[in-house]
Amino acid sequence: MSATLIDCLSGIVGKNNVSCKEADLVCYSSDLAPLPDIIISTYGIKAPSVVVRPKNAGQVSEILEFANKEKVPVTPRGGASSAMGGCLPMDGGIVLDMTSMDSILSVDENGMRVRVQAGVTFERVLKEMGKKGLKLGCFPSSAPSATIGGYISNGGCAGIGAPKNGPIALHILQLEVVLPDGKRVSVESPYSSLFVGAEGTLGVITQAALRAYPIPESFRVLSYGFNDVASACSGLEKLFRSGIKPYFLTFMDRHFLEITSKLGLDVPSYEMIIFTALEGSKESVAAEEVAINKIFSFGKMLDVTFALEEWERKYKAELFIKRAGPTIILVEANVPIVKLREAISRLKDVSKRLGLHICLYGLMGYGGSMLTMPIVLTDERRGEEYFNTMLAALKMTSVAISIGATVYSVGLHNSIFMELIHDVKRLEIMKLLKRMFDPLGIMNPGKLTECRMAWLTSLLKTG
Amino acid sequence: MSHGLVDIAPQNWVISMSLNKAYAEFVDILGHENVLREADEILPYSICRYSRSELKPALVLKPTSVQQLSRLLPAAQRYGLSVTPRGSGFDSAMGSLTNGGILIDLTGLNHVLKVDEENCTITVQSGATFESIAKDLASKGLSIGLEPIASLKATIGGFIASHGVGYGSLRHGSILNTVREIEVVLSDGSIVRTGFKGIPPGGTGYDLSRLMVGSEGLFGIITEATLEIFPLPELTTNIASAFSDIEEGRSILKEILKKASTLSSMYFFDEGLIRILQTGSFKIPYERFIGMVRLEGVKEVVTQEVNLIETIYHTPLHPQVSEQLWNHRFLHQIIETLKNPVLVDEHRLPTDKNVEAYRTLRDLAAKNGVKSAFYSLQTSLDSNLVIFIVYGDDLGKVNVTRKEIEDAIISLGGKPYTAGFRRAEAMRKASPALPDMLIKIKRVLDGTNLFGTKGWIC
Repeated sequence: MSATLIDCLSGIVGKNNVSCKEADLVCYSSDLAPLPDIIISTYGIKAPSVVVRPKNAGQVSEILEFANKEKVPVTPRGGASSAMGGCLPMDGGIVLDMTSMDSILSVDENGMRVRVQAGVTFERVLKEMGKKGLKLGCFPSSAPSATIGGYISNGGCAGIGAPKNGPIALHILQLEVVLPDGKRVSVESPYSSLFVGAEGTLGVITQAALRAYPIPESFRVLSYGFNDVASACSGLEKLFRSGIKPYFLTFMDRHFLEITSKLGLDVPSYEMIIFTALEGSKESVAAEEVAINKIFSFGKMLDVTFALEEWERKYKAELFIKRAGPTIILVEANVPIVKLREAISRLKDVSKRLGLHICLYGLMGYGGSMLTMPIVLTDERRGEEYFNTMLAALKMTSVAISIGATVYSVGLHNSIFMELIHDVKRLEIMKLLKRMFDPLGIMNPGKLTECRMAWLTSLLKTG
Repeated sequence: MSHGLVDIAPQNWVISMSLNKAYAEFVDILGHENVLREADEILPYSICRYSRSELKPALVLKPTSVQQLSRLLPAAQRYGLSVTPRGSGFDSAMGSLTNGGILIDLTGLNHVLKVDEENCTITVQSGATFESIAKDLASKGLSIGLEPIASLKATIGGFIASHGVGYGSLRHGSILNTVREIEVVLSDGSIVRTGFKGIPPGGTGYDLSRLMVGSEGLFGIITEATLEIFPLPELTTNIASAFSDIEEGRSILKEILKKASTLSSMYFFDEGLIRILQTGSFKIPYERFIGMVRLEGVKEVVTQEVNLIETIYHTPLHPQVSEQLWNHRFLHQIIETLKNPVLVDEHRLPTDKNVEAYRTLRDLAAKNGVKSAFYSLQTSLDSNLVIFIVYGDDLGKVNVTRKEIEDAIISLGGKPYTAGFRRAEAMRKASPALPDMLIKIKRVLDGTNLFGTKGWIC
């Protein structure tokens, strides 16, 4: 990008909010799951030319207008806590670092709503709301780094509160979005749904009004150890059909527990542990606890210390495991609960055949979905090993899809599955929508509706 | 502003020529009995249940299969006709009417296709009514959790197309919460499935399922939906209370909202509605305001919360009255008893604006010399669905009052429940940026504008 273009951007956001420093550019070419050079070069991922940090929607609008005029790609970026490569600037250009747009505009306890800029982290919003006895209906387990806009853009399906209150799409009252042509629009629910999970390909979310919920009087954590996966899974199925909606629920398999234990934590040894948190009025939590104890009667109720520690670790599960890596490759398959048992056994088979150690971690989503995450530990510094591991991870995703799962956020790595997940017509509509909103294709190119890695599919078949 | 989307309004002779040809083709697809064009046959289709109108369709088509619909739409497109889908017509904004176009009556697509107890979903055709769905599910101890406030004879397709909220929303949210997947027929006749039956939408690309929620028949025709279902609660209880004024009512209900965890519905209404109820068969005592809460859940929790609410209420009504009130909850049935010209308007309103909204209605009705009634349903912690009923002998005054209330509600941050023909302008005023965005979607899904714009998305 020429110096004149950089000057134009400096003119919009100020010199201090534009960076072309090598260190910054490298940093902004990666997300939670860094990629080795061999992948970066095979995938053709470019480093950005410039990182721009807007302070308000007006600036975002000017930047997009400018990018449209100059045909420069723009990749919005929040906390980069996804591992699907959604914020990697495939074609270089501008990385729009949204984290400077971090104002909490209002916490309205009478109207039960909160209005924030999109670049603020969940942790900060929750802290501010907490002062008034309020909180959000759902938030990601990456709340300390994930931004409101990033979670919304990634679909915001699983997380804390999601099994009970629903995904982030159901908590949005209004979004302010800057469309690719620079036009600013305010869009209310349900029409805001188009931008939920659009991963920055249809515009940039700059502001959100979200529903607020009172912090309930009662909170309870429970955990159960199971000696076989089957009875844990049938417990989860029963729980789903009972109509009881836990506030938060996770599961961990033996390998996950073993690694956690190796890393120095005191965890019990089981084939599977289910952890859940309940909240509500005193009476309702007590009644739910009784019912859940019955549902999970095939497991052993674990000491409350473990459950409390697990709750304390809620923000850290994936990051903690990463220490054993040092790199993790995450597969995030959204599996219908009724297919969970099958999914787990198929995933284990595949990984065994490929000679991989996976640990399984899962988060309950809304409406009978279970975000199932086989985590593969590897080292991005050993390029070839990484590449093979990555292929294995893709293989696992396709196996999950074949039994009725979907992916959770498409980003870069899952874009090869879009044809598997969606039928031709649905995919065609998505592509037409993309073209309609972003005719020049400047917004987050190479993602979601566009797959540049079709060549990988053949490798998947043979591997 | 021109976006290349203009409602089709060709000369009369052009219409009649193409209509005759189209008629023959429609009869070929549907059979004579399912293509209506005689004045007396068409008359019922100029009514949206709360009010009559001058808007009449040229033809009414009654498909009984998706395949028929998929052939009808391209034919209508070829003849340059405009198409409007209709469920049972319970909307209050004339969204299910057409002025000289083709009306598609979807009540023939009314089958419950599958109850999947394993996945907790039901798949139904869009013309199925809440009544028939509830009947089907109740025998299995299940429910879809929501009921429209107008009538159980409303269709699920209409409810989805209007982003429906209703009884049960405090527990289950709006229809946006429970929709898994939708089948929709586009203007070119293509049949699109928007998502997955096993998994709620989200995180796998653009959310086409939720995109159809609130689309008001302007993107395509919803023909089928897969929705989440829930076990019927162990215990349900209704408890009503009288309030001396709206402030008292609001503060009491607010306290209950904060404390009770088994609330599924909460609503209140004013003396205006009580008077209308009294004109019917229901012998309800006169009160200034009545508030009603419905609890559902595990027996012991509901019982405990009933006790709690009884301590919060100052003047609880007799349990029998509460039950009867619940049985008279459907607005269509209440309003039917009125003989005067009546206008019903529905808006979504931030919850802290209820009192102001009520006062506005009362003052404007008094100023214009018309009668009014107010009803407000808590649909979430932050929003209410408010209903204004305005009636009187003088239709002109009724109309003026309705318009003035609508303006006031929008300035309070409210939004029309649906746009339809009648509230299209209000919707544009309340959400000025929306049409521009929706036009982009419409160009993709209905590029030839077969489904029109109702003066909203234009």
